[in-house]
Amino acid sequence: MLLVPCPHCGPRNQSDLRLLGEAVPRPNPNTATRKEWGDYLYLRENPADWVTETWYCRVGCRQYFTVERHQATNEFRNPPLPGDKVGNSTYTTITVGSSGSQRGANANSEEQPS
Amino acid sequence: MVSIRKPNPGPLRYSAATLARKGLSGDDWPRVWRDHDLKKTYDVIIIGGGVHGLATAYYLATNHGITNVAVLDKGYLGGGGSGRNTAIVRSNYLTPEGVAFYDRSLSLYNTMAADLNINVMFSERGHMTLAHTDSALRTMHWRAEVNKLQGIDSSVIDPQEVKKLAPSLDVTSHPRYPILGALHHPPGGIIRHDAVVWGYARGADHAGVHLHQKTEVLDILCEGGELAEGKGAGGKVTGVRTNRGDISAPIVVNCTAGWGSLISNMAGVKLPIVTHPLEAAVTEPVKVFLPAVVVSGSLHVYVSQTDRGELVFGASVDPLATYSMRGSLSFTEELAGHILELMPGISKMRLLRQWAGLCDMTPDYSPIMGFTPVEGHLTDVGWGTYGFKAGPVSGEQMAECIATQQTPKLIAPFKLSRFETGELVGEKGAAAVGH
Amino acid sequence: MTLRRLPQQAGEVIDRSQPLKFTWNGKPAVGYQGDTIASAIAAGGNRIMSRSMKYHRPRGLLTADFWDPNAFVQVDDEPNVRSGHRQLTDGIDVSPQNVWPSLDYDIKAANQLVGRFLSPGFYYKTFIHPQKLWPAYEKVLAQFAPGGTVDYESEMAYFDKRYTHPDVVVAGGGPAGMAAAIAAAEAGASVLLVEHEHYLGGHLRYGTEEDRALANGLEVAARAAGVEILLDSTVTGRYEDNWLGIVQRSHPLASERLIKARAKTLIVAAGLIERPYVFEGNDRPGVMLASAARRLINMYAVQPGERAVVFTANESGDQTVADLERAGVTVAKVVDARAGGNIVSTEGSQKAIESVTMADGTSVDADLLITAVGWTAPTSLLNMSGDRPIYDPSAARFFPDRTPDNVLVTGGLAGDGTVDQLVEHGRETGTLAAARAAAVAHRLQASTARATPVDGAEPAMAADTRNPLGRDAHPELYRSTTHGIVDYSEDVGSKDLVSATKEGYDSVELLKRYTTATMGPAQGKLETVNTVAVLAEARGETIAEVGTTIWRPPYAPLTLGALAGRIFEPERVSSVHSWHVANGAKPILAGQWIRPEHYGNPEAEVMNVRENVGIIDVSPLGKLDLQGADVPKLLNLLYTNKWSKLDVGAVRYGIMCAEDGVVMDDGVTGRLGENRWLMTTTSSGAGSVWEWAENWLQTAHPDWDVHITPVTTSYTSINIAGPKSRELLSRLTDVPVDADSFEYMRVRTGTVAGVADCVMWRIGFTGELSFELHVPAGYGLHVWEALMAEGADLGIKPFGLEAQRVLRLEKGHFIVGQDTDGLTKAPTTGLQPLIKLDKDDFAGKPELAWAMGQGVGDDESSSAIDLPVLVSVQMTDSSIVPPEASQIVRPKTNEILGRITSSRYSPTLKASIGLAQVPPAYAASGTQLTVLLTSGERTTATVQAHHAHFDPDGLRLRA
Repeated sequence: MLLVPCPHCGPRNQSDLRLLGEAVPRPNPNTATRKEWGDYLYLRENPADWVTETWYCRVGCRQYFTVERHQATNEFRNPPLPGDKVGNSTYTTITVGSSGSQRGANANSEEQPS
Repeated sequence: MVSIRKPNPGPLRYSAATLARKGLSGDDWPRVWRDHDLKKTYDVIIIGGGVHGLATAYYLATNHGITNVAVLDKGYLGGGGSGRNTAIVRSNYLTPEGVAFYDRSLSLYNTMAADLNINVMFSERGHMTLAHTDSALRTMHWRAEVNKLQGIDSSVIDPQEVKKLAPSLDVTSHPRYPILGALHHPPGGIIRHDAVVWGYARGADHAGVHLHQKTEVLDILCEGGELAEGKGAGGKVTGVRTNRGDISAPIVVNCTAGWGSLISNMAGVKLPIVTHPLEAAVTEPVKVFLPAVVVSGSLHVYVSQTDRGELVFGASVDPLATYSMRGSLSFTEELAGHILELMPGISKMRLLRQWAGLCDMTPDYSPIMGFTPVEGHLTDVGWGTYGFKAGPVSGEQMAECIATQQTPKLIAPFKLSRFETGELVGEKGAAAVGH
Repeated sequence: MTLRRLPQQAGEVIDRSQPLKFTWNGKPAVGYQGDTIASAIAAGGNRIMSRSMKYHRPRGLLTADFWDPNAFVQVDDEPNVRSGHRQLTDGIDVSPQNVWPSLDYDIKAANQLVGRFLSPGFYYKTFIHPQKLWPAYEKVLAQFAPGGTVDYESEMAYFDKRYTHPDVVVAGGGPAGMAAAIAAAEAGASVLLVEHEHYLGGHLRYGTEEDRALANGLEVAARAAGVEILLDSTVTGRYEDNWLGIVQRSHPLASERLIKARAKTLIVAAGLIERPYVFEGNDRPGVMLASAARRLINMYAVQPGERAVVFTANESGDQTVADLERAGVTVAKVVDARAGGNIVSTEGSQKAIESVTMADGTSVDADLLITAVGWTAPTSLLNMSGDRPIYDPSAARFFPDRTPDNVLVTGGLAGDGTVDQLVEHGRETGTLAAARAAAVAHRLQASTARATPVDGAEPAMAADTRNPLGRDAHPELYRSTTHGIVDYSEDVGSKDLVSATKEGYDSVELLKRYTTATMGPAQGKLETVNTVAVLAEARGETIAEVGTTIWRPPYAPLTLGALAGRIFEPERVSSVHSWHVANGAKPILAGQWIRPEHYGNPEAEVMNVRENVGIIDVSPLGKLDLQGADVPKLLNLLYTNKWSKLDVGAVRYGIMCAEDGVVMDDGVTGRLGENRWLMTTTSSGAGSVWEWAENWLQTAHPDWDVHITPVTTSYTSINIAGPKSRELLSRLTDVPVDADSFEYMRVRTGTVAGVADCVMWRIGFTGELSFELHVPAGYGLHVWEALMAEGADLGIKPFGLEAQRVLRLEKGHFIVGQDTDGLTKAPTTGLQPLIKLDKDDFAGKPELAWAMGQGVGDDESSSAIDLPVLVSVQMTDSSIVPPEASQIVRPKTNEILGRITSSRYSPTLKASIGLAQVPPAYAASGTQLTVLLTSGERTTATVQAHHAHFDPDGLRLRA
């Protein structure tokens, strides 16, 4: 159970928040090519390294925020402060999914148990 | 479909007779596979010594006569998802392409013991997916109908039949998650996952493949590509750099599951994959009471009992994207709560051990197989939570793909380019309507 | 050879004034309060506790504690009870496990005769041909599964959970752990001390009188310092950021309790676990560890034998000699490993030792062999903290390497010393832990914006200035010159391990998986290091080179019940629920909501809506209150259609897509005032649409003036449907509801049945004239009852979800998630007119443009994919309603073309109707479709011109 640094609520149990995934910039919907849009929807860096990602403090302040986390050690760094802009108008992976992904990663696996 | 030629069985076949001779003589068994020095050049390098990598090597050698092949693993054989999964096999998928693919895998599992001359303990005990809501029941009907049309033994059964197949399930007036029925798939079951790894490893070794454990790939060497160091689209693979030195090879195959993004990135190929841990756990052994594999989608839990008497549990992937394989307490809490919803009578059984593996999740819950924009770099990744059950067919098809340089029909739907054209596979469709 | 109870002695933990009766192996037995089940059985003269898993060899007590692999018993309906640890209670029925048919005579012991063939990997190498026969073999093998019997028909026992946030958690209540707890508490920290055993004191508890006095003194001091002490409890796991699982086995109410602690610092003082020795005959009953003998004698007053050989390599073994002699056991021989002595085998019957043979070839008669060959460092919690312990050959055990700042180690895990030295190290560790906890607390509070500000800069993590404990030299004793059992739970011997290593399973992980060594209930506490040592020997390497396996949680097994706790699964009901129950509603589960499926006759409910008036409780409908000047911008972004010109008093329907163009939700939004809107969503989308909207607002358009409040449960929602609905509503509201004053797709606010601030909108999901009321939830039941009373003469009847499904299907409305799926893009739902590609931006816009054959920007490519289209169908045979999910196939080949997504018999039309997904080529009106029924039979259906089967022009709902 990670402690996630919410800028408003302080460190909170991971189960109080929802991880939306890597913060990905949204292409201009009026000029994007299929490849650009596809990359935005699906392509992720997925490094074993630092990544900037978006969290939603669903049980606490209900605010979205971005923070850096190391995907191998799960350490956080540069926690945001209240009032920080959320990822400088980048956008998040919640957009990629159909209704399934709206309900969190768990719901996605509904029919996909091993 | 490619026919399976019998592998070279090696110096000693396993049988009751050889067991008896060894038992009497007290002689050692021959080595199950051998260690080799790294050669300077291989025709094919397969990264990842799990079921997928080993099966690919095995079928390359036995079906296509390509034996100058190296399988590289940074740890020991079968140490990733192949040794961490819950060993369930089934073919009752939702989409026709999914069903065809996994059915081929199941048939390879069915003949594997004889093909590989090792008892993989395939226990065809039946697989039940419980429905707790009418919408889940609708999805079960959908799957059953698609399955039946493809010749798969799959049907929806009522709570009384569920109770007969798994008497420990509470099918009474359950307050919160009533069991309204189940999708029953008699050919599904469990298998000894390690034996599958060892069987392919032994077979590949005997056929001439070099298995290199503790050999970590540090880089994929490329030339001619659009990115730095000749990597990326338009380029081609020339070999790999490992902790034991450089090896040249025109073909480098990525079979590294949860680490797939990192490996293909070494060739300048980015993948639509996010790595999530998938956790599992076992209980202490008790006398066998659960004859079938039981799955509840709504409760995110699956359970089977091994012949040793342990209950083996799995769930859905953790929401955190990470390469860390530490288990979590919350997983065991949720798991136990959900399993006791189904079987309240086993509350005094004890959880013995938990672990995690890494899953390479794709947006449409289907793999990424075949060629990439870098010539000579092929992927067999994106296996999410269902890689083990696909191991044999993936190996067979990837071997064909490498040998013929053509994408076999069975894996054509799983090409990387589908994410640019929007032709996603519909397995996730089941997820969206499953609630 | 006898085991028996000794006369009363100082330090014993049994209360002889309280005898307890129980049954063992079917016979009456007696013990005392304070006995473990095993000590009571042993005191009764029983040497054999169980039979082994594979060979069914008789086994006696080995460690006489929690980890004893030979002491698993069945207690009533509870399997696998650790009798070396579980305290005896009155009246229990205790039976041995792995015996068939009995403990004394076991047919499966015949397995021993074929043991030489049961080599490691035996199963992999046989039963290969014919494969068809494996299931039969498997059934037989399953009979051999070890362990007790679970009674799955029993009731779930009571379990509980607790959360706690102590500054310091100390895992282990031996001398160092207690000293650490005391020092931390004295430094001002809140401290939780967790002890695995029933007593504090660790090894002091079965030591000398001075040892016990010291333990008692520390315990008194710990309690005085305010340390919270948990006995018979174990820290089962250390997870990220010091999130700890603690199982409390002795709890007055719960069978077991799981405590979840977020510790600022964790002190690991788990002590050491004595390790068995590998030699021929090492599993014969009568072979016992020194600590086991000392426990039995000093704590439970049980004489473990009559004539003993002691094999000792350390002080603990030496002390055992004194204990044995005091208990009246003849010590026939002491073999001192430090002086080069060694033992090679035991001889005797299957059930008891008769003699012990030494390395010099001499033999001594004995019924008891004590071994004291060293300890295993149980580094589980350190592994879980990221540490990779390092082997020290001179001390013959593993030591911690590097732990995180918030995990400290003391006691035997950290090193050796006198009790005073251990206590001193513990005290220093406790002080350090308290200082570091203060730094962690400061950091946590400083990073919480809403908390009381903390003064000053964050204190630095206190440096570790403890005087390290020494390491006593200890001979490396793992295996003698003979082979014996390594893993008692799994019946795996050193010979098996050597043979498997030679076969190529030559790394720890492969060896473990191939032989199953360390995979049993002890999880390596006793056998891991011996396994590694045997492997190292076989490979000709050192233990350090081979390394060890990573211990995974939990440290000690805990029940599923404890992990589950009291199972809380929320259910939601509307404020009208009591009325539904009282009026015979059949409940149905929809997400978390319990809703009326029908009130007895859904078909009649449908007809009553078509002919008179019905009301349905639609409270689960998601509702969001939207306020602010920029709400139209938000609506334009979320929905595919246009919202800028929605005037006050108007409502509009819209669909929402995700960025991949897949339909996510749909619903109606109305403008209640200049700056106020009410949005409805699907029931299951209530939460996700809210988060989705907030996501856009917060991450993409933080400058917009929009405030969202979820009001789903603030309102009770009631739909009044049917030709007489206007008449009914007019009787109860002050709002004019005539056709001219209250047009279709308009919204009004006003009073209904005396309840102010109701929202009413005129929409028509059922296809009838209808009004949807959103009533302040506190008055929901009142309004419902008023409607029922007022509508009596109009023929009012309630209707449930089933009738609504039929009504909407007759009208051709799709349900998101049923008629659409994870690949359904908005243009294929038949609602292309609602997709406005000339809007600047909305979620999923490019995908929808491509799906509709239009390019975006420079990319002129249109969708190349034939997406399935949603169509209305009518079955040719009105008596056949194909089950939902029936497949639509090509008649000759059975190739799947699509599926029926919804189907019902329509009582209104006397027809079998449905919605279906089909390829575009099959979507034209009048197309004949072949539908495969579950039975395998086929039927045909015809694609309809409109989605609406009933009143396609909408005359009734506009009436």
